[in-house]
Amino acid sequence: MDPDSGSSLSHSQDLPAGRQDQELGKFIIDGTDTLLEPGKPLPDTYGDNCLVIMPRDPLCLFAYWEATADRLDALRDQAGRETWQTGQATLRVYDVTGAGEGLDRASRFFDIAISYDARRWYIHVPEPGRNWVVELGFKFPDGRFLVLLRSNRIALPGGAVSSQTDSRWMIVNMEAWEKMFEVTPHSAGSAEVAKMMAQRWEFLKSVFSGSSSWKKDI
Amino acid sequence: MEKGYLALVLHAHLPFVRHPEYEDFLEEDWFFEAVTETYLPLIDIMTRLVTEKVHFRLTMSLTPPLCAMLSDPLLQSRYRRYLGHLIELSEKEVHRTRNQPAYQDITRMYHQKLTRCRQIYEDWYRGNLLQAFRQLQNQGVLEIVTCAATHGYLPLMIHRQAARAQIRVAADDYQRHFGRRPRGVWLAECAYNPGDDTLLKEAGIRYFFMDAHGLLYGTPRPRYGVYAPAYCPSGVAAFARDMESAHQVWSAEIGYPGDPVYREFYRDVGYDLDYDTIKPYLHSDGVRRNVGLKYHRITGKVPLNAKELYNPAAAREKAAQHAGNFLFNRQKQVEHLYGLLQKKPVVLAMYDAELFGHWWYEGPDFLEFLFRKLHHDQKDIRMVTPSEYLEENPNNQIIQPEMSSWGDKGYHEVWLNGANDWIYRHLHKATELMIDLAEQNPSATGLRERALNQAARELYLAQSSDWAFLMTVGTATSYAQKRTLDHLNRFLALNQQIRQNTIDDLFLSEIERRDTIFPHLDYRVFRMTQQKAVLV
Repeated sequence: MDPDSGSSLSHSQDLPAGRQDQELGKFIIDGTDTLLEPGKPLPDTYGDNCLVIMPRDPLCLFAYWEATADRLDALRDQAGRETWQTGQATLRVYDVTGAGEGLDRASRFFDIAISYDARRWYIHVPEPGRNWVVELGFKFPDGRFLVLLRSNRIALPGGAVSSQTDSRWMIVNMEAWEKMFEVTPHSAGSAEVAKMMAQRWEFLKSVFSGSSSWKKDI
Repeated sequence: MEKGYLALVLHAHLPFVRHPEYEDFLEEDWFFEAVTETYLPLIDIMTRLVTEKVHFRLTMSLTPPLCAMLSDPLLQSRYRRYLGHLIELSEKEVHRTRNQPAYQDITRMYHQKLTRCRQIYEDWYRGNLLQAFRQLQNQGVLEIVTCAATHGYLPLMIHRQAARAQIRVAADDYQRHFGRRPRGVWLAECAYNPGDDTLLKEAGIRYFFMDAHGLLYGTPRPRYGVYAPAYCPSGVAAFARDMESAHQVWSAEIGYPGDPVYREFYRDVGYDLDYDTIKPYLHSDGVRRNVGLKYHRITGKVPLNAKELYNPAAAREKAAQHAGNFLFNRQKQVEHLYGLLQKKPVVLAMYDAELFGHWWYEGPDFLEFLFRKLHHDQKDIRMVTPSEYLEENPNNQIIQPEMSSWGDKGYHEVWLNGANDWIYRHLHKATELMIDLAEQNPSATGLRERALNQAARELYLAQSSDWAFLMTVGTATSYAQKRTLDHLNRFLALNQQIRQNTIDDLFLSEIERRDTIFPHLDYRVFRMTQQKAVLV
């Protein structure tokens, strides 16, 4: 017996027993790296103009972006070549909670000076439970902000117990629900199943329109 | 009359790992170990309890990738090989330790358990474990729920069609395996984004699970906390995790699995036996690794070489005690809640299935003792499945739950951080391209249809949240990165070939042979139904 062979075991005493580590338990395996060639790299860019934001938690969102040389050139022309040199790449973060599609009614925004070439950024916001849209642009000493890209809109969670305490109730009838999705015989062709599913979906939509008898507030 | 309900929910999932291009592949062991230590013991227990007419209920997610692996002939034959080797090793170990009484109990235990595995796997089900689960479901003791198609992390998908495609394919896959539509779903990592419930409704799914704060922070405030499900405005029910029963099992300080009497996971004969003895049972590279026979107990905070010998009988006794303690705590909890709420609470005890058996070796014993004690020793608590609960209690509060997950810190950071955030721009781009391909090719046939279906498969496989998870926790990181790169590269190659009308049949055939998940997949699932391809 040689109990201490294998250096990969030496850390085991320190492992905490949190849920994540227990989930990790099913993946524990050592020495895999030698077996495989690394994968081929993915494209550096896709030739797109896009700024995407994603939710991380109530107070943080993640942004990534890419822009074409043409789009950057156009913005440079707009700024003027000399002014362009003085521009600071900036993420303008709009709180659009309660606002419509556009940014006009946005109640407020804040700016973050960034490195354009970073191509991704974690944005920390001051308040949970708000909706956000981000613009990536360049800020100039004369106060101008020229927009290169605008993001999608996301909502971050509130992370707290709701102050709203009025409650509504509903009854959902299991049988009615199941009837809509009765087992389709396996012999049916996929086209038939698709058609049937489409019909059921139509039916489902009508049942869920809110006025039907099994759904009621008390 | 009972004062409350207990719904025990186990999430059984592994990413799709299947490498026909290698004779012997390390990460396939994840699956083989889980079959041996978790899935077969659970089938064994449930079957025994049914025979003995012990009333119990269990809810399990069997994710589509896991179903694909359980029903795959290649992995079935490789599992037979794996189990055969392990049984052979256990026989040799019984013989080797014949004059060491302290070891005999242990080596005989392994031999007996492993041969039992072979009996269930081979003699009862001929390698088809989905049949076992399906039978248990048809007997009414087990409720099987589905998951997102490849355990895709829905809140980080920016295309609604991608989330919809994850749910729709999962529900269809479930129907194929289990002969009916799924009633419930375990969203991958319990990650919920407001509005995802409408996608579930489209697929006919009636309920899902979430972490406690997802419901507690919902609007309006939940009248019964996490002890009653709520209907989302769509009518789909959300059940939330009970943290008290979670902590008793998961907690680092008080969790049962850390008891000194239980088996130590990290001390394994793969390292302990002399090299010539163990070599035939290692992978073909001959590197020492865990093989699954472990002879020591946790003992305490001592180094590995100071671990004391495992005592199977003492460990089993401890599992019985822990089951009694768990039940006692649930009774107290239910009694308290019943008084407080003036309503029968439902307690959702939710865990990873592989915790039981693979990580916590005595976990299946614990479950069996718990089921028996619930049946014989008390009347306060009745076990239910979520469907049964909803049938008996169809009137529930309407709440819009909050975005949440059951990951560390409760939101998305485990799957979105500096170690893995690079994957999302590629995943989103591939999704956009896939939606466009489906729109541009509404009625492809022949080679083109095969290429489109395979492109969709590659995207699904790249979307597994497991890769991001492994990058974060730093285990099998290279493998997770490679899988992400490989599936996305295969997708991008097919995308180009389809658009340029230069589909390479050889290339396509090879990746069809490797990435076999969802053989009936129809790429048209990515077509938008009367919607434009816009960001959510």
